[in-house]
Amino acid sequence: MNIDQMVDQLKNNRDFMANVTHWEEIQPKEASYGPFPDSLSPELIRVLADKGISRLYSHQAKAIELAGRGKNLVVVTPTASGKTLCYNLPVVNTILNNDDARALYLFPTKALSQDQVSELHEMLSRLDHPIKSYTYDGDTPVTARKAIRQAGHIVVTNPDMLHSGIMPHHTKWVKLFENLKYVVIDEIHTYRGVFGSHMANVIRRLKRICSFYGSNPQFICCSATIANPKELTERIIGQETELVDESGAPSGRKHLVFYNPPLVNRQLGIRKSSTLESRKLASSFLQNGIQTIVFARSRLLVEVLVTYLKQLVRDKLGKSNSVRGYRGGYLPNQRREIERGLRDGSIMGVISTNALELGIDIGHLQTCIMCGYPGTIASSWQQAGRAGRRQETAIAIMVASSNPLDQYIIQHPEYFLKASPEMGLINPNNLYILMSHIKCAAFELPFEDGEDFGVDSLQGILEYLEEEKVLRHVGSRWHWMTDAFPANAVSLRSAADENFIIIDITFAKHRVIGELDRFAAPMFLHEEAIYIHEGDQYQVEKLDFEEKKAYVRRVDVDYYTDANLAVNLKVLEVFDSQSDDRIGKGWGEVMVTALVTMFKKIKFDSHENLGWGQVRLPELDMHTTAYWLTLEQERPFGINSQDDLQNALVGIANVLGQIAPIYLMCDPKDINVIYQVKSPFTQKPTIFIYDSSPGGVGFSEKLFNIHLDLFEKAYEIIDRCSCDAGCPSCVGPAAEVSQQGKELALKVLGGILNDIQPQGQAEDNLLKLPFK
Amino acid sequence: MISNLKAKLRTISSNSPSSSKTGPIQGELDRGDLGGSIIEGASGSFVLKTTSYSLATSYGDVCLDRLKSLDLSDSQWWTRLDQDIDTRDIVFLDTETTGLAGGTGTLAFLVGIGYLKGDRLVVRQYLARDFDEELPMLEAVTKELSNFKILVTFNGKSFDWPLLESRLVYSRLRPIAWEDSHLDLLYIARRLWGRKLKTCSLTSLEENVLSHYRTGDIPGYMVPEIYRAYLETRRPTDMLAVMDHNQSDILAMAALLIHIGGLFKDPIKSCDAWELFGVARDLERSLRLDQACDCYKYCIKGAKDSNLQLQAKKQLAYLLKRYKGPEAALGLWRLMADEESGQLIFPLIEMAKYLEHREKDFDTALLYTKRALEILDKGLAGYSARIKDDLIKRKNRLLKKKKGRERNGTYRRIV
Repeated sequence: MNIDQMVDQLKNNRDFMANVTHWEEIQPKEASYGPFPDSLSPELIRVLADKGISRLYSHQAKAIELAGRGKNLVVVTPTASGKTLCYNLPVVNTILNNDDARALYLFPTKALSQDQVSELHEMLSRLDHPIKSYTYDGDTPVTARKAIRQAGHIVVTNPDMLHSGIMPHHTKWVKLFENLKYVVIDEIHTYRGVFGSHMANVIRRLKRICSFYGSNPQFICCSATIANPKELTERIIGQETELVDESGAPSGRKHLVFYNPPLVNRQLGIRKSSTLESRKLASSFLQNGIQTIVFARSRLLVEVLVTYLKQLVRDKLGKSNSVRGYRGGYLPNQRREIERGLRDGSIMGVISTNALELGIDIGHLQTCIMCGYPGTIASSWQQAGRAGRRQETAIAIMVASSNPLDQYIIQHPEYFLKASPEMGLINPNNLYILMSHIKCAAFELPFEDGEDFGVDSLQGILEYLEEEKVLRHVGSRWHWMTDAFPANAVSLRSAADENFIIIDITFAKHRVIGELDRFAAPMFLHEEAIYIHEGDQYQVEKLDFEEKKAYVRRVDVDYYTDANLAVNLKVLEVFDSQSDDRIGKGWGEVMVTALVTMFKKIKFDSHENLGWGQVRLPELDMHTTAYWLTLEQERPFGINSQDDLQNALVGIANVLGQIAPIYLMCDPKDINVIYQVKSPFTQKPTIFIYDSSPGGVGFSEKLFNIHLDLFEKAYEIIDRCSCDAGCPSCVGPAAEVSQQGKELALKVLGGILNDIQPQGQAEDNLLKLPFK
Repeated sequence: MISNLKAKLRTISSNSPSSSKTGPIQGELDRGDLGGSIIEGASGSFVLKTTSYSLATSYGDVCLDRLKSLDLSDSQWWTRLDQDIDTRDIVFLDTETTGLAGGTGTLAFLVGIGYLKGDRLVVRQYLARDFDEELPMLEAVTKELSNFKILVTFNGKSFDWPLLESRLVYSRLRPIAWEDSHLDLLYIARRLWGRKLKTCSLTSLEENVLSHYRTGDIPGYMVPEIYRAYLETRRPTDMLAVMDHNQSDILAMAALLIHIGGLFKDPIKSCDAWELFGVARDLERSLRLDQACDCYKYCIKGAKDSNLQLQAKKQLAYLLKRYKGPEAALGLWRLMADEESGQLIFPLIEMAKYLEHREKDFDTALLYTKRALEILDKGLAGYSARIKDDLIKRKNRLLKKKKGRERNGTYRRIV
């Protein structure tokens, strides 16, 4: 069967269609073209012709035209619409006209930069003029580095290397910085949250260095579809940017199918496993020789699916190498080989984490299966975009898991299809992040009095650093005066170095089986805790808090442990608040403290308490920002007992924690929800949603603005859930929230929403551009 | 507002607040406490301290007057520079810096240079008493450096010069491109004494090679801290110690160069076995083979360390094999194979190779091969699996050859 027959067959399969909540057919689109700009060198036009490109898509032509007029721009078009030409052409064209000109390419990962370099090389090798491009990253041999600094026209690297390997040594890169004409930032949508806030500061530093050497580069950026690509780009580069978002690339017919695995236990809300359903679907496509990509949400799931599918394929085709996994942790060579195999068709199926969501060139596949909602609308479109050829039909199937977010999406496909994708939020002025980069910047070049670094508070921070004896103010300059190399102390990728690693010591050869963030560690990794990993039980033997290591050993016991975490949240400063007689909202700076004091041993099945133990671990505290909602009435919405109120709040908090990421385009781990039946600050029942990263990256302000949208969605999810008294897809299992949990949560949510219209226009003042 | 910001910064600061909260003390710049004179240039002032030493001064065992007569003609084979050296063209350089990590934000606040002038060794120390004095100081230093053809440093190739270069670029001054006219004594010292001494730091070399023992010297790692304290308190005591330390380093470099020059001039007469080995390697590298052979032989003869002796034998044997043919090395291989019996594999392999390919004596070659395999089987560490594979291959090949010859009846015995 070919792809069209497969699609028809699915459409006619009654069992399958019974679980399909929506089938969207996207019509094919003709290409639209634009002329070669006059400025484009004949040599380049010849090279394009050699590659079979005789005209440009309209978005490419527009990008090149804008770049030619000296504008910064961000290109937002679908996967594989020829985005790279949008920057490669202006860059190469400029170098052809001026051999001294230089360009810097920034990719979020090493794998991507290598991919792009090989494509770029291919184009450069067809030119008569020698234009050199090099990758400069941690893997670049020391011996090659000098040549790259001197002679590379195009230097390809990642933000981390720019931050700690290039800018602190800018005097070795004089040629690059003096002549820097273009900075290319690909996949700019990946720079959001903490990473994006760092990135904006890295760019501030880059621009400072450029201006020291007398250059003023233009920025060409590319982004996947997000709600605010222009604003995000402008916040990152700190300059006005033109948006190019009308794709001229053609596309074939595409089917987008929402599939909800059937319920196996309605009362408890348990559905068939999304993994097994994805496996079933994938194998039917693979057996028909249709090239298929499956996206799974964890590395472990990738491996499980690979094992399943290899088995299947081996039986039918006699070999199993046509199905491969792809995820972080594979060696670069192996990944290159898989990418090649996908392009040339020797690999029929690939199971990947979101690693393949980014612009790595794997050609065009015919089928995409998403095992679980990818977490954001934007990544769903990106993953679905992996299936799609110019002429042929493609199909993308989203298979929902039972968590609330998945269930909401799968039951509200209209929401998914109509909603604009998520926003990329960053907060470059997060004090932690800002201060780290001000240190790095001062190390690179002393600050001059009156410099601003894009923030009002620079002077205050410089003075503070002088008091701390990090800087010295002499004459009109602030000099770095300590012995340290500040970039080494700053990791751009959130707080990865703060994670605890989990080491299995069952066998003589110890191995790391996982990691857990600093705040979760006391809960799950205290000594004697039973830690469950990939379905196996481990007991924590030793927690080395200083070294951030937990040593665990395999055990087989009939109980689990549940630690008692006391989270305390103190409001330090209110940035904004509003209230009426019913509810109130606010956001501001908070101090969160977490202390684990004891744990219980609880028997499986019977849930009887087998005993308890003490935990002696230090209290963790964190400054961050939070959004909160208060219930203003004495007995809110007719709920009379404290217990009932508590059960209602537990359920609401559970749902909010799951769905807030949809609005924030963040990982569920990036935020936390807690409730206080009587908050010491507001003196009322209060739900707080706070940023998991110190200082916050802007989620709270956004939540303050969208406010009731979130509660409306929570209401809908609980209301429409088919379970009786709570399940993992809504408020949580009834055992946790009591038999009335669902009802109570709905009562409170109904009260919150009553008579109050969602406020939409508040979003307008959300993004204040730094240069205005 | 700003005090509020600072309070916030302080609370989020992960490291504990520093002990004093009084802010920087802007001490008065002293005029003369550090010695030397204050130079006022177009872009600011700095301190220049000139000290000149009579050449009769001794540094450890070395008398500086030898600097004048030091003959460094025909020295490129060991200096690896692009020219021979006239000692009057040399400038010694040593810096003291605000940090040891490198990067653009580290600067040299003190640049000491030394050179020969008439009958004196002149040391000139350029000192920036604060960050704003760096630029005028660097301007003056570059100007003076441009008078010389050869730069001599200790570890300057990877530390002092790149650091200065970076600050010069930052100050928009043109750095001198020393390239192959920069002699870094550390590299030579490592070749001569790296095997013998635990560390090749300047202090270690002074004590072990020049028999000079510094008194009251401050350790190098303390220098950044002392400068920071000086910026705050302006108390000259410790800074004077830094300046003395810097002067000692320059004198030590001069003495070391004299000593090294002597060793390379007449190695057989002046070197101990360790040094002979290093010199021999340089001789071999520049194809001065007869001299190299002599040095290896004297090294073998004089070495008290058995490992050094063995290394010299091995090196010599390979040299002979490579340049004079396998027969020339045979004696040494055999000596090592027998003398160090039960320990070494490479002489056995070399013997086997020679016997198999040159002499066609498969039986004896087989004997040596088997012995090498026996040693390997005892589980001696340090040999790669490839060596074993190769030996097994050799053994099988030899057996085959032997069989072939027996069958053909052309068996004959040599040796």
